[in-house]
Amino acid sequence: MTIFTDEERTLLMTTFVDEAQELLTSYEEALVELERNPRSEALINTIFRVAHTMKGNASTLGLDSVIALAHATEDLLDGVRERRIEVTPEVITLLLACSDHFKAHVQAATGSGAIPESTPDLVIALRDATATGTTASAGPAAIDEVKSGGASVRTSIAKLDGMLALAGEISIARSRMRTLIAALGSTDLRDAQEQLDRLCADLESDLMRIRMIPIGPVLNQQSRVVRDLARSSGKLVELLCIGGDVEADTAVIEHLRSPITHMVRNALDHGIESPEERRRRGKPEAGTVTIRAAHDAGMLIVEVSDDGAGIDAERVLRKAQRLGLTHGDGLTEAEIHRLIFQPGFTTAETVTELSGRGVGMDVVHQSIVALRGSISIRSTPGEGTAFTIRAPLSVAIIDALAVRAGGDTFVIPLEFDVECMDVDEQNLRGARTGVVDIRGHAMPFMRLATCMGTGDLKNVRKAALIVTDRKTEAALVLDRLIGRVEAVVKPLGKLPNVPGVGGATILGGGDVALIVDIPRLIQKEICEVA
Amino acid sequence: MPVESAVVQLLRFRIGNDIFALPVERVVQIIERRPVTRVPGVAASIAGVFNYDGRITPAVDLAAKLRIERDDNARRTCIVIVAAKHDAEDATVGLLVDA
Repeated sequence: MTIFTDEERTLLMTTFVDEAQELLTSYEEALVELERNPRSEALINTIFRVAHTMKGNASTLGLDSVIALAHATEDLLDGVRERRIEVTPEVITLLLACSDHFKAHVQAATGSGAIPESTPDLVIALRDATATGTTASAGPAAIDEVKSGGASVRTSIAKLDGMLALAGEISIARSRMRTLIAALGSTDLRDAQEQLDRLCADLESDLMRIRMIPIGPVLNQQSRVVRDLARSSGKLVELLCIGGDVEADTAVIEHLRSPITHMVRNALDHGIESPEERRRRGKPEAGTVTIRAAHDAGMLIVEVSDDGAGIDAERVLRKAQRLGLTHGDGLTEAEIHRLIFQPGFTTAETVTELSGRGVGMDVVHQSIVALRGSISIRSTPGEGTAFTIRAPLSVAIIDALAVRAGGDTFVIPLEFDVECMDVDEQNLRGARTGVVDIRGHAMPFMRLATCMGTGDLKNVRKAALIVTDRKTEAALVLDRLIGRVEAVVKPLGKLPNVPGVGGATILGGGDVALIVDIPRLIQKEICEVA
Repeated sequence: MPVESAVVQLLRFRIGNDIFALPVERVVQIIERRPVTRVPGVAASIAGVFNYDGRITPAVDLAAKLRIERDDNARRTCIVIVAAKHDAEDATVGLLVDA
């Protein structure tokens, strides 16, 4: 079981509350519809999924009374699903009462309102109804109305792109006006211009935020995959989705959809053991697949983990050798794990319906790399495997430093910066990279301008920005700092993926500056050379 | 492409001392020359990227692409924005031309 820090717990709680409100809305809608259409399996599944997700989320947070309630609700719904229990108005009422109680608990979790005392009674009523197929009346919940999330509009991405394009044009027009106003020398005009600049900057960042959508639907969609696969393979699997409200650009979310599905399938197929096998190993019969989304240092993190058998490193290595993907001995465990990302790799002895066709994890790997993201594996034999995807929020806005190097302007994400200092050209031996003395310590350096394909200027004073990819620290040598900027990250479009370039941004004046991808630059210039 | 019709509207432009033409329906817009940001590791004919309507757009240096000898001091005064198909997707590129 994961232990969360206070901060993580607060984040999870916020996520839980937000997600719960959305879930309960669909729960109620489906219930009402079910009363009119009691045979609809889709509706029952929707309702079941809400109860299930509520249980999963609540158990992450240790909200015992919610777990008990959700569990009892699930049991009753199971009966409904198996047609043991008829969908009577009483059942609907009971299930709607559950929704009221859930809402009250969610409210209580946010610190407003008390936990309804009649919840245990409702749990008993649910159990009775499950056992007998009839319902007794349950005490009404004492609750405040949950405020609705506000009205929303659906719009096409193309329209948003169009607005963004306009904002770009406005910024160019603004910079032209700024020059004209500066020539006039009027303070009033300049003040007005500055106010306009601020407002436009706000407008631009709001526009970017509109493109951000929660990952929740993509995560919740997996429950169907899990249920279908579990049923066809005879395995018992529970899916836990955490962090459904974590947001990223709509394009990123869309790109992650199929990799996530594939990793979930993979977890079911290769990770989770059969119920008999699990019992033999002293594990609960039902395996758990957890998908957890979070933000970390300006990146989107999605972790798909299972409590299954883990990766059999020896088997992977044998298989890879047989396929001619490696001849290496002396590979570390982590290196062996990464072999599963090689094209054509599969360990499945028989080809199953969904994974095990040898077009699995390498496709996942490739699509993550195409997103300029990365994927890592953590696996313990007998305990399970976790795949962690790190992907940029893409068209997100990042805090960054604008710098000059070799006559060009570059943008460096602040998250990788440690500190900045002056250095003398004479201390920098090396046309591209080398080692420099920073306060008595030898540190690798790289000249930004040279790494970016232009010649470095021959000035005596240089600035060194100490950057880190969290493993290696390096000094990035450049000419001077310009200042902090809020950069809107844009992809380089159809141009090939250049290592060390993480996209581009449009500066205030309308010019384009490249965004330096610090981890990949360090990897390419320092780690691969060494 | 119509086979018979001989009349095609063309946009004429100049690179160095040579005159070229493009079917007008390909041309989206002609804009003033604006700064192009170099990108490392791409083909020599890609001069870099520039801001077109808030989008990062590649700039193709036609002189380099077509291997035309030209005076480096000659000012390329405008960028012709053209729509092209690339991998079945619509792509917009800018062509650097002299006039």
